Amino acid sequence: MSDSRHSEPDQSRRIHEHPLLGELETADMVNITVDGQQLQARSGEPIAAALMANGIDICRAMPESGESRGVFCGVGRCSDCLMTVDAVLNVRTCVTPVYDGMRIETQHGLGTWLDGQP
Amino acid sequence: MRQVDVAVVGGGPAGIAAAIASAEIGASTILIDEHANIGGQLRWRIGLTLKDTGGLDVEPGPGLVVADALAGRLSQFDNLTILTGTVAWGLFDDNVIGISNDSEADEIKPDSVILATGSTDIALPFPGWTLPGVMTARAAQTFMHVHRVLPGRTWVILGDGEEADELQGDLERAGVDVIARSANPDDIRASGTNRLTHVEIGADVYEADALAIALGRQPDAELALHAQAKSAFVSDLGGFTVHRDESGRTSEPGVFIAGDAAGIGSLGEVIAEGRLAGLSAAGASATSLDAARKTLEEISSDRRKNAIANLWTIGTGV
Repeated sequence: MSDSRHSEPDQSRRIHEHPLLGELETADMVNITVDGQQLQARSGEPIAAALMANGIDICRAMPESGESRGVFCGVGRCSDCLMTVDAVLNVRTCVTPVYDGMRIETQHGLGTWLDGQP
Repeated sequence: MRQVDVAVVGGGPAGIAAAIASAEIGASTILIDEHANIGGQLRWRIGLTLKDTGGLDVEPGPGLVVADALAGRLSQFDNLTILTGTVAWGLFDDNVIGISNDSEADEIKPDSVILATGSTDIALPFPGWTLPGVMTARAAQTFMHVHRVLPGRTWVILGDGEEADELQGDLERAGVDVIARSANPDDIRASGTNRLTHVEIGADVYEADALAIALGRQPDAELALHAQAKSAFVSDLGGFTVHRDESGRTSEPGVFIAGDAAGIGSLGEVIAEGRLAGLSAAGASATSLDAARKTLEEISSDRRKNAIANLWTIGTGV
């Protein structure tokens, strides 16, 4: 799979105005990298929300079939949105907040630890 | 290990009602919630309006406004500790609760524990249900309303009940399109190469980038089951339901359950139950208990009352 889905960051999925919730409060923006590409996120938002706001819906590929997985339950139960974050495998991106300098990678299968062990 | 009189797990409507009731009569109380802000379903089901206050001293109104008001009320008690961003991950012998947050783990030893852990969306499988872009109604609501991001622009909804209607209203409010709805999980197929691009319903094909599963909710009672409380399948209460009386007492001493975790209900019902469980767990006077029982009796639907009354006669499930 190429990284073409990262080529056109689409920040228009952010909900700036909402009839019941009002205007989105301003937040400090932080820099994160996703598969090497630098993106902006609202400080403290979950990784998966930052990715979605940047047009990225795919979190990982299944170990054997290679099928994509993304946010499913959205609340930390189902483990579909696991990614590799700062070299830690299987991070639940829907409930883990971003911070400045975070390095996020699409996880392929069970992922690979820094020491090369699967 | 922290000792308290009453620990409440879950800071939604039922848990808040339980914690306030317990703290009001002087019990040392801890309220534990995994989210950053308490309020539970009021934070993502923003179309909800609180009509019956279930004996809680709060103004009826939009759920979000009520959630903020209740958070304010909770902060006024010196004998109440609120632990947000904290997961209660186990309920062990003597009602010891295992908790952890991002940085540390601890144990709480309450005299009584009230489980107000809410509900989980029912997610039935169908072809293509694992594709990115297919998600539960709660995921859609959480991302739109809590995180303020649109999971998709062109939606199909699976479901034809209240949850589906509620989500359709949420999506329309967010300014995105709902192009089709299907009531039948046996007649829907999602497809796409790496993410959802098409949904088939019967012979019709729709181009869509999001599909929400809105088939209803089921009680989330894992901690009660961990403590080996008796349970049974009760469709009128939303699925596997812990045996309990109207005060929320389970088969396990000192373990109470209330709100959606004890059977999917209306906001008024879950608040009234939470309040009664809080008063019972904290050892309130007979007068207070009678008043709370009366409020619950007035609010509860006959269906819910009958289902709860019958729980102990159904026999043991899991």
